[in-house]
Amino acid sequence: MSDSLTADAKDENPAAATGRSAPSREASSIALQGLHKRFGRDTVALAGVDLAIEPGEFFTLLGPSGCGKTTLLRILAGLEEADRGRLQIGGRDVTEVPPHRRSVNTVFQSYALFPHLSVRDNLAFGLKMQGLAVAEREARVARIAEFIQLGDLIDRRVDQLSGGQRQRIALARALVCEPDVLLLDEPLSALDAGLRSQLQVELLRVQKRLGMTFVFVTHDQQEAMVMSDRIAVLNGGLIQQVGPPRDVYERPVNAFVARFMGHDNLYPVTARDGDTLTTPLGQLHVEQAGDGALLLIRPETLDLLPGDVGGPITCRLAWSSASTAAAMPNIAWRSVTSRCRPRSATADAIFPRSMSESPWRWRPTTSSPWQSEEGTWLIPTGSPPLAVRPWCASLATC
Amino acid sequence: MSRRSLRRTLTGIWWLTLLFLYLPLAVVALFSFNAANSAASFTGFSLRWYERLMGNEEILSAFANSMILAIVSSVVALGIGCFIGYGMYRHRHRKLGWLIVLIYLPIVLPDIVFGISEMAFFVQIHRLTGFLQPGLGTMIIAHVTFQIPFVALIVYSRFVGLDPALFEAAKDLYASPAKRALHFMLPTIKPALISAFFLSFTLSVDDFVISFFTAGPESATLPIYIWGAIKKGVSPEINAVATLMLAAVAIVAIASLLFSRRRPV
Amino acid sequence: MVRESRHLLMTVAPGASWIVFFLVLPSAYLMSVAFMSSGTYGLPEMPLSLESFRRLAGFGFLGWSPGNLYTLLRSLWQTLVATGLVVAIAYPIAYHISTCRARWRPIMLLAVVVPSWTNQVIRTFGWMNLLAPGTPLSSVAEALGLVAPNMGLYPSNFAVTLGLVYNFLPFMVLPLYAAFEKLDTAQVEAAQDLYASPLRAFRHAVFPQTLPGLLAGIVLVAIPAFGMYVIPELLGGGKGMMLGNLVANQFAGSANWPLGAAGAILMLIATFIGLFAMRRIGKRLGGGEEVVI
Repeated sequence: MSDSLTADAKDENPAAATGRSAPSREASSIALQGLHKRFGRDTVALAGVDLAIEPGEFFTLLGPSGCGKTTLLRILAGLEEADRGRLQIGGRDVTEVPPHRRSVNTVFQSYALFPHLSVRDNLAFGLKMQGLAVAEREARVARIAEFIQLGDLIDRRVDQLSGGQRQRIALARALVCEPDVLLLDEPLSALDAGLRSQLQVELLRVQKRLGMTFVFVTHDQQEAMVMSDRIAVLNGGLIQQVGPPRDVYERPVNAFVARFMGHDNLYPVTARDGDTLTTPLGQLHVEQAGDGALLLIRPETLDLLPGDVGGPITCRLAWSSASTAAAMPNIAWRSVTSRCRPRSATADAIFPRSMSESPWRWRPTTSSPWQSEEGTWLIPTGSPPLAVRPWCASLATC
Repeated sequence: MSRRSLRRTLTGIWWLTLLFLYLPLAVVALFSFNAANSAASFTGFSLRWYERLMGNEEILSAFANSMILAIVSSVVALGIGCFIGYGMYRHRHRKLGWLIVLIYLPIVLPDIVFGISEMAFFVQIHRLTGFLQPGLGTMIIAHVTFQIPFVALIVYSRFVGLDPALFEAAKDLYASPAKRALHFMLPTIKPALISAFFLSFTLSVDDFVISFFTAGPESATLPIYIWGAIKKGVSPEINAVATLMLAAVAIVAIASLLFSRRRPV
Repeated sequence: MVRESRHLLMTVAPGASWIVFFLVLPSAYLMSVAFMSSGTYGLPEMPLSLESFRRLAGFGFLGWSPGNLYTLLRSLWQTLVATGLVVAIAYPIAYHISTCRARWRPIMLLAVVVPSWTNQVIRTFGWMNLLAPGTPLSSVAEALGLVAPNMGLYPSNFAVTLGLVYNFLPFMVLPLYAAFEKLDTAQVEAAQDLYASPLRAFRHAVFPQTLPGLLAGIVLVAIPAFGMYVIPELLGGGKGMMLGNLVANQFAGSANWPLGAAGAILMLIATFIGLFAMRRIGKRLGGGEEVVI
């Protein structure tokens, strides 16, 4: 299918791709050096960002609103000018190149389809502005329509499209220009959950087939985890951590990244003696603990079980959902979240929810490396002992 | 009062108000078909006042003046106003208080102050320099002055209603500034420009006070002619002219309404 | 930043300078005329004087006469009465429209607005036809003893009030309707839920919410009504004259530009009070966005 689309051809025959007329056919790298940007007097959007994005990478900028991720994307697109710093795309310095001369295209959060044009004319807009002949324009629009499988959408009016359809048209409109880099500004945030995961798959398929460099902005860590080759977590205009999703999730470099990646079970370590840590949960024995004062327990490695064996009763069920439960140990005001596997003994015991005051027991099902003095059990879910490392992984200052 | 009787009272007030609003216009239209000379009683149907109209050179030239004035002033106001509208939009985040005051001044200034200011000013300029002799030229200037704000506000609100990302999408898709203006902005605000033109046109045809004070001896428009005729003593011919103007305004207004409805964007 | 400023100047300058040259300068000139003395043909002359304001207050060559002050008071009174009547009619009308079915509302609004799209002179002429001696309305009024025989309902102060109400009704209905349309019915329901009588629910839950629209409407009606020229000229006769006629006459028949300009300054003051009120209301309505008519 659509062998004309650059990187598609490249999959099969790299030589053919490089030999083609347009020089911008190969996936491009991006290099940012010391980017600063402030709005007005005291709103700092970027406070010195250095970043290198590899050719053909699906790279995600992740962070809460106001962290500077959108500003960074807009600087890549040329829609915003950095106050300081340099920007290279494909080895060429484009810091001062205006957006209409950059081989970079954007899928906007609101899609920004031109209301006065048909879908077909929307797709052809960029090609027309570049001065391509009508025949070439039509051919390329037809090819992209086939590639994205637009079907009969192409003959509709823009105001007749649903949200998901608009999203795909916006993607096609950007791709048809065959840019060096494709920028995506939270393109799925306006869609409902089902459509969203469907389009995530679609986006990944497109990116892998084209081998194009994608820079993706989102505030949703789940989405970032699913889609990305690498993630950069931003906060306060600074990059906090860059790495593959699993790394960032399992070994967050600081409390911000840990919380943003969805970890609830964070406990300050008040004292330590070798591998024994004193925390609000009591004393925990942790193998291979690193340095730091914050203990992170990944909920995936815990399982909450109803029990009739074990030490004194130490917790009450705080809340539960289909896959997660939180329990409140009597010795602390902090709850512990754990995942309960469907059809496990826990899930059976929790549903229907018994939110009564009646106490819960935790009991060990496997031999555990952890046992606090109070006799509360925290149970790792079947992972080998070495997997202890991830769940206490990163101990950094708050 | 129960809910239902409140409802009934309101409906009654509504229809009475409609009667109040349309009675004077209906009377004008009715008497334009009156066979008799008197405005006091309706004696029979006739088109004689319309026939008299067609032969009246004064009315025909007043009509021509009204049209020239309305069309020329609307075109000029459109040209100037759409730039202000765009400027206001592009720089809406800056402090534009002075511009807002300027834009609203022609709207809020009472017609009579507007008219005599311009008249006094034009008369003095004419005395000093010989330019700006009262006539169609000064009327066009005055009309453009009160049309600009409406054009600017319509264009501005159209831009504000657009997704700001559209401007960026155009840039992103390789459109240079000139191409953006031609292929994106102009087509997008076309509906606003058309309704701004219709509104300017209607405002110009409707205006009496400002025209009256800036007109010269040869440049009477239809409202000025009607005014003069009323002052001289009511003639049934006026009913006919007035009815034609009512019809024209209604048609223009409905046309602009239909046009603005047709495009949902 | 410099580039942006130049862009702002380039787009805005033609229109802004047009308004400055053809409206701000003329108004400024008119204001300065008020402080000059009246010369041949009533044209302004040096030296500067406050004579025209004395004349406006009624001090003439023949001593003090109340004519001008009556005109001023009449303008104020007519404005007050007409605005009050317009509110009284527009409030239930706007509420009624807002409670009708959604697809009827635009048509109903249109029906209220369309008469104001026609020429003011023609509309006023329609009332002349209706109120002249011998018409049904006048005959009824005569039969009831409201007017002297064969006098008709016009020219009279009553006819002017009627004309003003007719002319400005749509200007009040539109902002009031906008207020009713935005009405938060949850507040009304909460009031009823908390045992408020219909009257108290209206006073505490409905009226405060429509207040911004009401104030905007009052500004839109009162300012132009105060400076009205056409309606009193046609429907009022000599004894129904308002400030607008007094001003206009000084530039036509009995020419005295400085006197007319002094009258215009009063209207300008009223206008700026209105503009100021509008800004305040605009801010209260939220967002600092200007009220766009």
